[in-house]
Amino acid sequence: MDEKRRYLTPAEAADALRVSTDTVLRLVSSGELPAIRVSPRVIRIPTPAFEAFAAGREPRRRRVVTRRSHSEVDLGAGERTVEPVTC
Amino acid sequence: MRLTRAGLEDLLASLAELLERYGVALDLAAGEEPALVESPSRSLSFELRGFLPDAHQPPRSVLELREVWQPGEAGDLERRDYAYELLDHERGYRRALHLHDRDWFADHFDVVVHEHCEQPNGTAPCAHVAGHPVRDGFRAVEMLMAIWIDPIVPDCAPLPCLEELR
Repeated sequence: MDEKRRYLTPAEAADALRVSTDTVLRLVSSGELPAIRVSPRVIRIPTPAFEAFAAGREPRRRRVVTRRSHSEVDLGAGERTVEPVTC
Repeated sequence: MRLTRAGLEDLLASLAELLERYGVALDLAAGEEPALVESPSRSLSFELRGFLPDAHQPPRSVLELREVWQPGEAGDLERRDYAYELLDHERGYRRALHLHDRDWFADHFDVVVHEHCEQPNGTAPCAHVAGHPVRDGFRAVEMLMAIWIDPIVPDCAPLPCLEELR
């Protein structure tokens, strides 16, 4: 299966939303539309973020719960230590 | 980075919100909420995992954020360990930003943080890659999303290998 394109440019997002590029940049600046600045002058909008925004999906604030564990957490426990390739 | 317990709960809720704003489908069952897990030593940890929609159903791109926070002397909490991961099974790529086992890494490589880069998944030219400390989970999301949207799968080979720098 072909890869789905993973980002939009601000101009592409503006076109899809039928607004100006400046409006898209304002949405990015306000944090309403998440975007990645890949260089000082280049901004990319991840496709899933754009689709969530365009669909009006507003995340709700999650309630955080606490659980107790009988053991300590060891983040390195499952680490794969692949041997370096020597060729 | 130090937080109160309420601050840590707020951070976890904010990270979940950011991931969902990025379109990540959190790996939580219906009615399940993000959890802080308290260990016998009173450390608090969390794991946020979710899927990025790609061309596959179910999606094959996984984003994971794990952190461990330990109590400090002043009663606050300090981030002790982290593991931020992108598993891009669609493109056969794994990138991980890690801080754990500080003493072992300091003894062996004179560093406390390291990264992993595998392409294809499970194949690494180097077991541990040099990295920079990641400020927080928000920055990690930005870094991993930047890699995920890059049309060119990053090349692991040029990354500085800790085993070779030793």
